[in-house]
Amino acid sequence: MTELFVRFLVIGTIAFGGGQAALPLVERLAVTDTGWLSSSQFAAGVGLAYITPGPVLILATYVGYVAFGLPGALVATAAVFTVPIALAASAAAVVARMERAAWFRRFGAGAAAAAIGLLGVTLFVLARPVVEVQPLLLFGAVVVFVAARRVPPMLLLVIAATTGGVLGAVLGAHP
Amino acid sequence: MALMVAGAALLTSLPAGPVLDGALLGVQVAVVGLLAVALRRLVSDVPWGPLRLLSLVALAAGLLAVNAALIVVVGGLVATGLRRD
Repeated sequence: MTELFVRFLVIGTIAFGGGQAALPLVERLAVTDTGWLSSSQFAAGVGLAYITPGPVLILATYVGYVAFGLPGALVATAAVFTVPIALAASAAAVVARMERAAWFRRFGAGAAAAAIGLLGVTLFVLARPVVEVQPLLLFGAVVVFVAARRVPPMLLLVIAATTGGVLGAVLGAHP
Repeated sequence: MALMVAGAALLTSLPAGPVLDGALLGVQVAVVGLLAVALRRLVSDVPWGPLRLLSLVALAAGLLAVNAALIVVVGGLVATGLRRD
């Protein structure tokens, strides 16, 4: 539980570039490093984060719950939002001054660029098991990629889950 | 947060079986597509130059299993050494 708190505290501190850029950090923590979640459980959590209101980093709640139950959900949520809330609430003026500083903007841009590279790793980690089950399933990801311009993510996720569930029921195993 | 807890509780309480496996696999396929969309958008926001090179280096380092937090912090530090964004 201590590891959960510390790791999400770090993630909340260095999550430059928005929640999606922080996804790789969460994936590395929850799937690759600790094995608290399987890649499909992580993907389900990302799906939930997409369809629930609020920042994507609320994924911490899901990871905490799956790993340690309700206490884990509370600890992870508190940890991931502690630093951003503390900075925003108690040191808004300091943060505003830092954001005007060139070095801080450059640091944020560099951290965000690195996080974008890591998002590619997360994509690879999530796609690999799909390919192992059935390479043709990646065609579904391409369909989602194209459709996402016009169809809300929530609807795409519901359609994908329903299709997968029906195929699972019909085929009696992985589609 | 309550919605996430409810969703996690629902997912962890559902009985394992082909229907759940299929549904999770379907969600995983969709998430791969959605993350690809997000990645494309984020990459397009990064100007050509050192920052985009930094993204590629971070990608390589990530594939080599270097600590993700370390990659982000080092990326930020490297960028502070750049003369302009």
